[in-house]
Amino acid sequence: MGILNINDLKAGMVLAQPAKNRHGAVILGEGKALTEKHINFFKTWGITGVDIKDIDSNQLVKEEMEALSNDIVESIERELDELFPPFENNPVMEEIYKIVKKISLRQAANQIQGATDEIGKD
Amino acid sequence: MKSEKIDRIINSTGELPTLPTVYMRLSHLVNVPDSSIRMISNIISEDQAVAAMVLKIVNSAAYGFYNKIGDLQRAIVILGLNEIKNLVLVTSIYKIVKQFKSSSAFDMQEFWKHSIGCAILSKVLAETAYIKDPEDVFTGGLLHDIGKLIHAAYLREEFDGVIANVMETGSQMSESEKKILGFDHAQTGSALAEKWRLPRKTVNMIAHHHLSYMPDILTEEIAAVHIANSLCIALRIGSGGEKRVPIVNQKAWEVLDLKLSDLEYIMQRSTKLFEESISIMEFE
Repeated sequence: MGILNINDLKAGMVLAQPAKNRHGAVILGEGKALTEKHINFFKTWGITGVDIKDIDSNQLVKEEMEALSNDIVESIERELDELFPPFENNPVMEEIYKIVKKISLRQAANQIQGATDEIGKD
Repeated sequence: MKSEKIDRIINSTGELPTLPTVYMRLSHLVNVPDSSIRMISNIISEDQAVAAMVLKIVNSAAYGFYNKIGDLQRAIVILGLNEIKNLVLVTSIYKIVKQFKSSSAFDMQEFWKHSIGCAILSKVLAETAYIKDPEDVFTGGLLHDIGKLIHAAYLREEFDGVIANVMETGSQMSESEKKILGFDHAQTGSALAEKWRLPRKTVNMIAHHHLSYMPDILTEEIAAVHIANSLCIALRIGSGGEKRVPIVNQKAWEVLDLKLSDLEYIMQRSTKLFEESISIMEFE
């Protein structure tokens, strides 16, 4: 299980914990499989993330990293190490680092995809 | 704490940018209970550049209205006074930033993007944390680094030294400023905001956004701008000349009472809003 961001949810994923709104009211119960409708509903209710069974958010990043060459991943990591000063025992900074890394990897993957599509057109 | 030098710069009459009277009169009117939409619209109409920009922004994708909004009175009804006030402020600050053709190492266009990015992040943080007036927090985010503008314009050579020092050492700009100038942009910025007679709340957001020391009361507004600044630098939206992301103060995070899993949503939503807004406010 792991908390997934609302934008990473896909139909068919199963809730490991009930999805609650900010006031603690249960919107959808534990064990329910998500549909597109549920996901849109979460967005309207201002739910930012839910706990999903058999998945963790690090896993998603790992999968994205596998699609990229080591060189690209390393250069992104080097850039981020320049950008972030050392932070220890600061969970907020850890989370920000993780999100920025995910966004950077995704952008790199999209760029490569875009370039491949361009070549395909010729 | 205030150095004489700041006083001198801020009080050097005639040279310093002023907030247009439109904004001042509007701020006053917002607090008058029986002010009418027509009165507000009349004030905005006096500055055609501001009026045109307000309509342009209201009709941008960021607001997503299906029908074109052609007149100011309707725009005021739809957006509400506080938001209109902010649009007028954004337009005014934009004019000031554009007016400064900094010949120094400080990039005004990047600075503008950093200011808008931080304003949007501040507002989205405030909304997610259910802070009472997200529009006020937007103002704080927009103006948090305004002191840098003054440094770039009036202390050109010394400020170039500050920028070089930040790039060399990787220290926070406020640290380099204190070393080289003897004071930092939070001090200059808050002094300017006081001179502009902005509300105390806004002055405090500017003065304390680094949280290098704890203010007497750490308000939610200060906490939001402090975190927004770090997020903006981490997302590399524009640049205020910093090399590294300022460490988020744990106490500030606790004040907002958010979950770590809210962060990704906040960052993604703000990035999207930023991209929608900046295209209409780009430098020519």
